Amino acid sequence: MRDGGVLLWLLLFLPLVGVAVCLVLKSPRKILLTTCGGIFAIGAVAAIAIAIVIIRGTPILAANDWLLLDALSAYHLLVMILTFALTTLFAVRYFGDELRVNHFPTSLARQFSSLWFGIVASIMTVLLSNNLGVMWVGIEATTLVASLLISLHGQPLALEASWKYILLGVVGGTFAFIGTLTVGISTYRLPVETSGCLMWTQLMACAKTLNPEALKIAFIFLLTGYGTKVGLAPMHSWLPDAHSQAPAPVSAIFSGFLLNLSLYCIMRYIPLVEVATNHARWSLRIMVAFGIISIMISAAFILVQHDVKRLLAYHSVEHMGIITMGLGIGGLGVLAGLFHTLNHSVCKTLSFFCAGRLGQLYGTHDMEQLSGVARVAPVWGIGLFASILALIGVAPFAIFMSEFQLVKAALDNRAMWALVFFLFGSSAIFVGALRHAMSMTWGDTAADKSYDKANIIDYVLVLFPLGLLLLLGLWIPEFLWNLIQNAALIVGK
Amino acid sequence: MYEWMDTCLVAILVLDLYILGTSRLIAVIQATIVQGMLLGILPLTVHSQETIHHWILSISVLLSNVFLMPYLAILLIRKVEIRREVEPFLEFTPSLMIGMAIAFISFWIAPYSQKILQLPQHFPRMLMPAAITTAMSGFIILATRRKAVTQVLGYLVMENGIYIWGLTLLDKMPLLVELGVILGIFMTVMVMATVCYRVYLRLGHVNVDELSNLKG
Repeated sequence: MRDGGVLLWLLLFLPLVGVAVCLVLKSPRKILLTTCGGIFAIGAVAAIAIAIVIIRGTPILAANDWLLLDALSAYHLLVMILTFALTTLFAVRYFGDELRVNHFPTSLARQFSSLWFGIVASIMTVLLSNNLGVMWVGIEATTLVASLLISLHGQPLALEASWKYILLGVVGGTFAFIGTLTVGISTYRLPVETSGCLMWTQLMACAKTLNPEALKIAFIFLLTGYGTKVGLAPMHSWLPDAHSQAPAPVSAIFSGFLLNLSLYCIMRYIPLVEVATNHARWSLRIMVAFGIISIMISAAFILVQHDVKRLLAYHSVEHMGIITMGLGIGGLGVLAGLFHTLNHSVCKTLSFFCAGRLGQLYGTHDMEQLSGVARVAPVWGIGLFASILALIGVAPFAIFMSEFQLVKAALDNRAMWALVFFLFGSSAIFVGALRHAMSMTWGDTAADKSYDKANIIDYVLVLFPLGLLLLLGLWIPEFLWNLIQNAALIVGK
Repeated sequence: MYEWMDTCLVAILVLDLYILGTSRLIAVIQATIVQGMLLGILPLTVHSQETIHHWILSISVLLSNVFLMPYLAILLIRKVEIRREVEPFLEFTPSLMIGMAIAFISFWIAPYSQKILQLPQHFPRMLMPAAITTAMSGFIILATRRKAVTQVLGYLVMENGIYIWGLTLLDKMPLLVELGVILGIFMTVMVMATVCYRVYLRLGHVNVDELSNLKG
């Protein structure tokens, strides 16, 4: 085993140990704290692995090349541990409140924690596998665990959302699998050895000789299949339902990372198709089209939204569209898209924390009733307001920077239509979301609302992501920028 | 070389049409059991060096498609007390007609797509039509039936079609991946059945058209 390989094994198996431990423990409080500790331990191991990739500058391979951690997956792993660490901390706070009023029995705690570790395990399978077939299995597992997490409390509407998600998820999964098989078929004429036909590194090595027609067919299936799970319009109909009905920590990881995970799978196929078709930009044009449609459709729905979590869900559709468009524009656009991934994930976890807590305090997510939140719960209220400002691209938050780079990339590559639609869509969203945010934050408060006292964890959960967004908007650490650049090179050589 | 394979595939295709036309759920499950048996035989009809690989694949498909998944499905329809699909969004006769049309079209396009995908000349003729028809039949059931239980069965049929398509890579795909996929499909059916049952417990019905409170 080459150096670093053992870390990849640890990342795969630690979550499973977590599942086992959580099923044994008896008190809900202990289970929650163990989950928190477990996730931080996994985060520490992941951080070491990422550091090795950054410092050495070469990918980590293990298990006869079945496991791979290169710059692209290391970058996504970084986004993942960041969102999961924050969200797990938030989950302790969120469910801790339910625990106090006895709404969180041991059975529910066990269910939550084992599913939580389960989803980490399946995400690791996706991120670390070099085999595209295993990657698909990981995505399917993620979908299944996520659908159970949505209906954790078993509310009727959550069950409805869960069913819709699972139905669209499995159809998308089937499409993605047809695509994966067709990628395998594109190697039919080549003397690839048995284990190599779906190995990403081997496919990349012989990408020029793959059958381009088969790859094109495969890419359409893959983009619609994985795109369903990304929430790209017009396959996004499950997304607002799932985001609005899931418990807030689950919405946060859904929006903060699960969408990006499926997009990551698409990113793996872009270089294959582009190299095989001799850089004809064929796949990139389709990506831009999907990006534009997503931005426009989400803009229309954001303007007429009443529910704060659904509002945030449509923001996810918009931002996934922006990242997809960036990948499609190519060149600097890929860089901007990847940087946007990190910014969006940090920002969206923060907004779901705030929306979730405010929902708990008010007992509703209706924006007309969520009025004057800045007075009732200053920390969460201001946090929500600031995060929506960041989401719609107000300077100097980092999202503004990545969107600015995207505009520059579009100008450089003369992608004028994409630019026009992007600017039009994001201005509409700017106006629409700002109106919602203003009335929610500063509107009249109902007299019976009592003042919520925040504790230290609340401050950390709000100020850390906000500070990070501000920092990344003004200055990017060199190691991070190098990592993003190397990741971008993998997607769009 | 592929006579037995083609015979099995024709039988699977006929079963698809039977599944599309029937309203009794137990009959659908029985048909999927027979399909599962045929799917299990398919890898054994291909002559190749890797006999053990084919046998393991065959046994795991038989275990999953003939025993585990039908057992789950029967358990589910007993628990939610539904025997037949009533008033689907698309009636049985039209869906049967569409299924037949898909079968014809897939026969017609199969040679062209084999050429585009650069598949070898001696490729089994029935494989692509059977795969497309089975997957599409499953999709029609998934998309147009009113009961969530029937949708689970639709997914099962759809995956049978994908499995047939996967046979094109039989000797190229590592066994580990194939077993992972089979396990994944089984787990999916299990989770779908669980969510379906939870919907029934909580709401007292499994009608998909009544699951439409979330909008906008």
